[in-house]
Amino acid sequence: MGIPVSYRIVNDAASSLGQFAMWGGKARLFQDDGRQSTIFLGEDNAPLVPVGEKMELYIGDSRDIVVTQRKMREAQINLRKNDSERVVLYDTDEIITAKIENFKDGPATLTMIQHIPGQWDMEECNLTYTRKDASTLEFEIELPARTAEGPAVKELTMHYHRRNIRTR
Amino acid sequence: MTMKRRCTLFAILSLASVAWAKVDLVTLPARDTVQLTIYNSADLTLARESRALTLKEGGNALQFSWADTLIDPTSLEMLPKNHAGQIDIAELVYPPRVRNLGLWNVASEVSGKVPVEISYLTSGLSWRAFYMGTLSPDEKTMRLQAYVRVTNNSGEDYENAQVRLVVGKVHLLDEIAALARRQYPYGSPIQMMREDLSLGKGIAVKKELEKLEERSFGVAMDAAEPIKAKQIVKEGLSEYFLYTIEGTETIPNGWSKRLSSFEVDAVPVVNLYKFEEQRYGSNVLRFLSFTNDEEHDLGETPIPGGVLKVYRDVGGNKHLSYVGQSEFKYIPVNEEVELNLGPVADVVVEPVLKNYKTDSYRFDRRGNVSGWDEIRTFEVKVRNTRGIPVKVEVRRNFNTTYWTLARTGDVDEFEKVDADTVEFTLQLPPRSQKVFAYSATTYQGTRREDWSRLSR
Repeated sequence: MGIPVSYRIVNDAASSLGQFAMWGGKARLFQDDGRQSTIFLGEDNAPLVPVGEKMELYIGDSRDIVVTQRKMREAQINLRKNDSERVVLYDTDEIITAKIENFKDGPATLTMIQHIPGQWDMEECNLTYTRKDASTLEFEIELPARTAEGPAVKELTMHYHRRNIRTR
Repeated sequence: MTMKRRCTLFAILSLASVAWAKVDLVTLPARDTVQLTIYNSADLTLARESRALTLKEGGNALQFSWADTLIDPTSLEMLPKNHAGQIDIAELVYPPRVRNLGLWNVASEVSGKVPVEISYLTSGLSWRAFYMGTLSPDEKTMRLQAYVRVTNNSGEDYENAQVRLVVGKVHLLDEIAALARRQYPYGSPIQMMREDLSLGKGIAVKKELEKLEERSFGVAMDAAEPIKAKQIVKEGLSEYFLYTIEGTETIPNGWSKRLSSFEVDAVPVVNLYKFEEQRYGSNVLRFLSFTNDEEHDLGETPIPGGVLKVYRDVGGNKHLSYVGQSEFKYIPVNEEVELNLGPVADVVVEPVLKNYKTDSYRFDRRGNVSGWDEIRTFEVKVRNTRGIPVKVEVRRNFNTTYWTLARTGDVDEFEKVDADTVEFTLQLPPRSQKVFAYSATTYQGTRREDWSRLSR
């Protein structure tokens, strides 16, 4: 599965823009190939972009960045039982690992989204993240270029607990 | 240079005096050069051609017709290569009630010949990669031959085109072929029945063959110069990889051309066999494993996805035996690949349940069973009946995340793959057998609480 790749363009003076709002519509992106020609990178629907705002144009998928995610642990803990010894409420103990490999010649920034539903808390996470909303974690991972020895590798380990899950 | 079989037609005419429909058409000189950038993830090609237009000082109109081709009219671009600032390409008009026709209005401060570059997206051209692998008799190395095949069904002949092939997945909002078939380029897209571009081509085939014969003879007559395989220059751009074929190629409409991409004499390979009942049933599958890196005489560029047919040199007389084939996806530089060649009978994995027992019972207040352990002891025999050493990966699934494992026997390595899967790795010499055993304890009911407490 490819990783979606977007170009972020800010409608401001630093980007030689910022004079007026940019109309929405189909945007086709090309790249100069250094030989007086171009290649077509992809196209996306651009929204109306007011001055100072940014747009992201999704051009295609990268297959040079590979994420292998595994669930290494999933167990029920803190079991709470009723008088009949039936579990009515429990927490989970979960570990997710993700190996992120950059096979590209250049560095890349990977935005990785993880979802944890319901009430939860993080016991340990080796990479920093932003909590975008109650159930969404966003990791901004800077990946260096690959070297002669192999791809640049980063590993994420997320150890968390989902809390107060009721049994049906 | 005869450029066209069909009626893609350019004309320059005076804007000032006449309406577009009534003007006299002047056929332009043929293309000077054409470059095709062909994508393989979508039916998409970026065509860029240069022509020398003769412009008049003042208003000029250029008529462009793309009937019987698959050009996306919304992608048409024209750029003067000389006299920048003196030539203003004001607009591209699509006249009403006329299909497949556009009119460029050009204001020029110069008169005479002006080189311009015209680019557009078209569909109907495609390329794909395919590979042939020949294993050495000891199966330690593989000769890898890679080819690309370029096919032109675009409705347009492309002669002496510089061909560039792009590897990578490009995002498109609309299919180029659908844009090409719209009645009005930007109007409401009316889904038209696909016109069979091959209609009427039967008559053309004879002419095509004649043309091809002419070309073939042309080559034969020029026998003093031997035909060499063309070099392919490879480079990365953005998320894509670009393969530029040396020189130019002529690909008439309806024809395919196979070109050699690269050849490596001896790629070291690992003969890998896998056994996983949940995925493959009771079969052992054969994989061929190698890494796209320098150690394997590869690694210069990513390898485009395609089909690899694998043969084995059976020694003496240069006889080959067919081993299998595998379709694979894009292989980045430095990535290890495992190509699935299908089930085999010469490596055998036999797991046998030797013992089953339950233990560690827990009871609730009413005296009912609330928890217990299930202990299964498996003996796994792994046989290599081949005359070469092999690596075998045996995966076992427990269908629960609450388990512990003890093992004995000939197993070399053992790894937890994920929450409910382990993998045993064995290296087997030629014609040998290894036996290992493991006892898997799975925790049921309230015994899971004990497992959770103990394993934290």
